[in-house]
Amino acid sequence: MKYIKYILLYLFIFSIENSIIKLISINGIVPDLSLIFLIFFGFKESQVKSTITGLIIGLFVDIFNFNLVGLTSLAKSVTGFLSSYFQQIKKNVTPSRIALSVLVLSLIHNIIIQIILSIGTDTGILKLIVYKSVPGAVYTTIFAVIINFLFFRLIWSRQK
Amino acid sequence: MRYYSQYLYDFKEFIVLFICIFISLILIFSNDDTNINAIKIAAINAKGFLVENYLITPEFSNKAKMKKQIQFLRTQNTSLALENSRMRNAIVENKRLRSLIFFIRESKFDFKVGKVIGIDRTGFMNQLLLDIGMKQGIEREMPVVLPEGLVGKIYETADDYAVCQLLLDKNFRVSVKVVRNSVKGILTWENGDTMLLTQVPNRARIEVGDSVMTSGFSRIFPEGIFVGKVLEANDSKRSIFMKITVKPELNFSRLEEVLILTNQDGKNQFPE
Repeated sequence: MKYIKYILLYLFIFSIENSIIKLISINGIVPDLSLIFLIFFGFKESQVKSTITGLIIGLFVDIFNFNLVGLTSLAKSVTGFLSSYFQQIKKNVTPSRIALSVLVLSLIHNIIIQIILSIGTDTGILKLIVYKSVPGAVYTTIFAVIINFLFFRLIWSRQK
Repeated sequence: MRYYSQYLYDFKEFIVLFICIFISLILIFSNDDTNINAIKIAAINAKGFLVENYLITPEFSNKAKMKKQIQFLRTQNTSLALENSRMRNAIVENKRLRSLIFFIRESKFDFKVGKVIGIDRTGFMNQLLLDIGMKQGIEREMPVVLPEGLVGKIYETADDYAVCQLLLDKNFRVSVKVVRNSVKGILTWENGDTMLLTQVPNRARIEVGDSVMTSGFSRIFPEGIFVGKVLEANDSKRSIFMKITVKPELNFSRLEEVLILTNQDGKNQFPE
């Protein structure tokens, strides 16, 4: 039952991500809701589950956004795996802890994607990090903090 | 044996991560596989259906009455614009060759009109979702144009829908030339609404305002499709190539219909 809820929740998030979320894009950058879902999932569930969830979510995103299939699943598998290392956060959830964890994880996620996309191009790594990875990671972090604030009870209730 | 199973159990997280990375890498390297393409086509059909029927944004709705007329006018307009740009190109070429041969290239381009039902400039690929697909004769890598210039190319097709990769996409490359002096280079996108013209040597004389069009050195894009104008051209002392910024005249955020060039026959023909 728990997993059906997760699936339904993710489908809802995915539909928002593909429709109204684009209205709040800043210079083509939107918060990665799938990533936020995965990171919070990783905070709560085991490392194996969050890694596999990362793979599945990534595949879903790749197929329905017509990306290079396997690209997002690779980045999200690694992010799901790493997010479980931040499980200490649930002992004392504060906005700054959430912000720092999400920022680190989404930066890693974006950097993996940009590095793979840059293979065969002459764009510098530093440029990719500064212009492509950081803005998206910051926007995702801000959104994650807002989501954490709005749905705090819903997200963390079972851990209390 | 027990030792090994214990060992595997202790490191199960890393083993799962390794398997996930392995699966992803296999998928990355098999993107042109028939099965992956079948999944992509199914996804395009599903997304196209959903976007068209349930997620239509206000700017794409309620224009049914004017649609046919606009499509007809746009087709004519594009044909004329392409013809015009080809003629300008021919004049410059003739001046350079001191008018030894005068030739006219007949435009026999055929177009299909595709309605834009979705614009996505937020993902890894900047793309359009079009309401036209394989059933209407659309194939992968067909050029997508408008009177204002090159829009992109067809990236993927399904039965009734197609995905167009925009000119303003990181992975988009097109061979172009500067009309005034036929200097050739490769046009790529970096950020925003401007493009970078690369592989142009420092000795080339490029001026702000020079028109840039496709060079024809491509199996996808015919010669003479207008792309944009030079916005900035700087000699680089640290490189043998110039840094040239090109601005397309097309407003990519307001695309409603596009024209897919389905037939390039008749190009490069000398009159008898």
